[in-house]
Amino acid sequence: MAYPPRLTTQMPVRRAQRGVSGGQSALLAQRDDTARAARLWLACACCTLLLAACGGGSGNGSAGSSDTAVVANASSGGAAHGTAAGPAVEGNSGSIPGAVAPMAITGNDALRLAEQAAFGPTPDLVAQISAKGPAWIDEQINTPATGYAAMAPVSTNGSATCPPTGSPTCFRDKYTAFPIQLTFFQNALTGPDQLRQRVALAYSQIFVVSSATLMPGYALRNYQQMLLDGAFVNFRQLLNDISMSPVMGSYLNMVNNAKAVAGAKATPNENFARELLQLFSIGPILLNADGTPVLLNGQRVPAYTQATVEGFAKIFTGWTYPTAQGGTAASELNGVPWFNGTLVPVVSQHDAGSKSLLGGVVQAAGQTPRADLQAALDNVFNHPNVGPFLGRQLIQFLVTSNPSPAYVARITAVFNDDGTGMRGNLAAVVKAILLDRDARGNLVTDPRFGKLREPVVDVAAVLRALNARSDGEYPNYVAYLMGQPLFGASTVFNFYPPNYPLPRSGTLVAPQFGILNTSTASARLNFISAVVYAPDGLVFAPDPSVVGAIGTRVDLKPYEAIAAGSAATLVQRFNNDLLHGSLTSSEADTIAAAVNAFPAGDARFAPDRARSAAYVTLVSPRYQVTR
Amino acid sequence: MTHHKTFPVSFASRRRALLQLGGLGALGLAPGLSTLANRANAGAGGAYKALVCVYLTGGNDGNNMVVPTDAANYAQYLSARGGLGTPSNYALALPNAGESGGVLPLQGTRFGLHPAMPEMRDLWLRGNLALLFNAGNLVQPFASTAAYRDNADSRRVPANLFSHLDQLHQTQITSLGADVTTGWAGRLADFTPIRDEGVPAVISAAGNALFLTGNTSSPLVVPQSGAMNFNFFSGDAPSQARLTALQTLIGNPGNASQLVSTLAAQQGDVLKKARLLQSVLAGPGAATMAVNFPDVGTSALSQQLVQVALLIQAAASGAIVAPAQQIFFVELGGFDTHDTQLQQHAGLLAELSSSLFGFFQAMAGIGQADQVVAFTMSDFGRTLLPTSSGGSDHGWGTHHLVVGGAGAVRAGLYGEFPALGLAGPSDVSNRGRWLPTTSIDQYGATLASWLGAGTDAVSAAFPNLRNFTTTNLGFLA
Repeated sequence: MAYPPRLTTQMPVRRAQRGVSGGQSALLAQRDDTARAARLWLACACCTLLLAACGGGSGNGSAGSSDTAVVANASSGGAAHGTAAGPAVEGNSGSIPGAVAPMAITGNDALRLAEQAAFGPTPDLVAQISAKGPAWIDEQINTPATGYAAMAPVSTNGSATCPPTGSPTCFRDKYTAFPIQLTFFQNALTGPDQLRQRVALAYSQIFVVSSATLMPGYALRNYQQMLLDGAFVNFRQLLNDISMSPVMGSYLNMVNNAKAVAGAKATPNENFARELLQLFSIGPILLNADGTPVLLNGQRVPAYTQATVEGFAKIFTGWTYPTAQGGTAASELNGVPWFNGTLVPVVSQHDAGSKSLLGGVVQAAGQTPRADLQAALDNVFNHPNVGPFLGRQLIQFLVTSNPSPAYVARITAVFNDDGTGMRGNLAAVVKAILLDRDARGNLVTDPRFGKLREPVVDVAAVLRALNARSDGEYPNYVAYLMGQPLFGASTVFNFYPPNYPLPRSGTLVAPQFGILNTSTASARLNFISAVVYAPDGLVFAPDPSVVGAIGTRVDLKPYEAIAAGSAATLVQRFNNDLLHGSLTSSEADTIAAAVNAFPAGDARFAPDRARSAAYVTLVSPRYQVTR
Repeated sequence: MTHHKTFPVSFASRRRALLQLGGLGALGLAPGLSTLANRANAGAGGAYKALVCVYLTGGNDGNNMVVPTDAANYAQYLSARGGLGTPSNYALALPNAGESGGVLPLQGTRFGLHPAMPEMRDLWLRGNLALLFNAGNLVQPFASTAAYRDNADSRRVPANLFSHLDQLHQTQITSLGADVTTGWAGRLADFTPIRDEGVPAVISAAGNALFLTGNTSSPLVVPQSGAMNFNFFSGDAPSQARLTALQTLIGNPGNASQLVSTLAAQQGDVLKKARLLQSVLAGPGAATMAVNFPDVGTSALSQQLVQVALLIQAAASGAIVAPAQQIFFVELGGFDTHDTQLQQHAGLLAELSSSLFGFFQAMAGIGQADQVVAFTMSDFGRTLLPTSSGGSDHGWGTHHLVVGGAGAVRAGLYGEFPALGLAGPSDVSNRGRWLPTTSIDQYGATLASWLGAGTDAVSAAFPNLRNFTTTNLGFLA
């Protein structure tokens, strides 16, 4: 199933570049479609020319080659591909648009970038960043996804597939996020596509589909694979993929959403329509380019009305599940639940009337489901709110909870035009966020700067710092105890809202503080003692019910090797490795005092001294806040 | 016996906080005169009081929780809810002639409860249940839907009606606009002293909630079930050295980062509270308390309510230091029933009914039934007209349950039941979105007054209350 070809001409807002002569501008415009297609093709596994492969979330991101047969095959089921990394994409070493002047990223700043763009520093990663500078980001953007293993489809009837009398792990393995949670942590700890994984984790918390609503595990897998593959595509493409996903369709009731019944006995379902606007694209109020609210007579201005929601609800009528493998195509709604591929239209159940869209636009009556959908997504995509609404949240997930309006405005500018006239280039947006002067510059001294690491990232970072090997089960469990069951937010509103107020701070927000409380702060402390004081480094034994389990092990030997010597030297090593040198001298003295409760100069006490230093460093509030 | 010793904030800072809430400086604050009482541990004498908010996340469909049973109104209900000519897919049946599955009649009224709520009907028969009809977020009252339409700007109507995040926020902060970050329970708690050695006035068993966050007070959050174990430090010298180091780092976060210092404060709370809570939540009484909740093994709500019951027991008996008035927060999610509503909603209401009944029994068992009131809140109600996928969309006003001993709750029906006609006198749309006839401010102020809040605390907690004539709805004794 091909993406409507007319999209290519509708997608971006094209405009003459500033400072380019009219003649050159015309030339650029002519070349635009071709160039854009090439850029997308080079930048990602899911490209304009092969959109359907990614639309269903069924492609394996590693298939980022020119192997069209493989990709096309994926669109019809996607069960054929494993997680093995595919061949490196050739010719993709080009710089991502929206780049800034060349800069070095070395020393402590390389560690900071490893915290913002990856799951925390390791010696190897820091060396790479230091050597490559901003080109490391380009390389990361061009690195294909280390994906999720394909899962065989199962019916939505979990109790039939997994009767209570059967295998005790059947349900866990087929109807929960458990398998992909484990894979996620494996990839976070050691995967080469660190930035893609971080961005996809952010997307999973913006474009939320949650395992809290019961659905087959392969559906959850397909959706998260789609976000991984789509981490750096154009946002217009991502909007399409999300809207056409049977997983999202099931989660927010777009699937089988019927037109109004004559006599007003039932109306189109507003669920997806409302959240698409409120959460996935523009937000409820009009924003300036710098992310601040537009004010009219001192009041915020709604970005849409109930009539707009109803208009979009009508747009999204008349879609049902993809045709199941071996099944027959549905001619009506209520096709068999099937989560490979993309939603299919059912014209007879599509609302044929006109529809109110954003900005007073009215979509004329009598269009096909697909034409209506594409027009509506274009309408959303081109709304001026998208840049600041999405850009600000991505900044919050990667760099800082309270970006300055100027920072947001700079990212909005890149979203609106990546420098080549393209709107919505997410690769350029992510790159600009990470290379921005507020991310790379010295805002460390600003008391508002930084963010509390969310549990998933915190757990991964601690384990990476301690050279862990893990099958993912333990980190997944502790992230849950800390209030973040991965891919399992209780509602579409994620674990925390982007504007969660930092308690007693006045006007600061801190999303991740939305799940920090007495209970979860306790879990964070307990996590550190569990890993640091694991006997022989074995934090969690292999679970016999998990295929290929290796448990979770940490290794403090690099620290033990120097721990018998000066406590100050040991603490300085932790300070350098994990805190990019941010400890004050009195904090360093405090940690050293704890170390010296075991005698120095005696190798027998080296492990104890290393553990004391690791424990106090890792539980310190300074470590848990990324700045 | 009330004695005022200390106040958590200066007069000036509290005044500033209130001014931020919308210019209440003119109300004549007198913080020493009428506050939530500052007694600690009133003991078994009966002075202890607690409110328990049961938050129904997602927007509870009041239309199927309380159904009119008289012929005319039921016909109107069925006409709108009937949908697609197959009433059984959307609407509930009347209790005709022994028919099972019909609504449960509330004796002496023209209304019935959802058939999944037999325990609540039982409480009705015992005189322990009050129902509040059609309450919702309002800045000011509207005499009619026409008056609403003529005045629907953001100064008079809560912004972003029908949006979960916004209306959940507004119902917890009481319709004060997007910038306010304190909830009404938290603002009430600002009037009690903060005590390091005990538990605070506001406690959640369901994670963080703005509802409980005040200008100066902040909630304790206990796990949904079980204790908070933070027992890593043993008595040996190296272990104590680590603890000292941790306490030093937490106690001196510096001012270089507001995020770091806020996290440090939260960590400090763990060190102060964990052992105390362990004795309450993991003590021998926990299993005994859980016996009141038959579904405690599977119901997250029952598990939370066990925690609350244990904390109330400890506070009321003086086993832990606690304010004499407390507000608790628990949550049941899943009420955003856009599809297959009949099945989903029945399961949710069954859990709600069973858990609330268990909690009532638990309070009766420790002699606190007259001292503790549980009440529901939700984002909003839902449209009476179904969606084409068998659910309902976001509405506005909805019905609420208030449960407690006869010494606290005046059993009965309160508020006005909406006219169920689509596009009728109660409908702000054409699909059954009810214009609330009672505000959350009135609802909350009634609860707060019973708890013992003085007029200044009530004014601080419910700034919009001044826009309403009735400030006490009378459902509590």
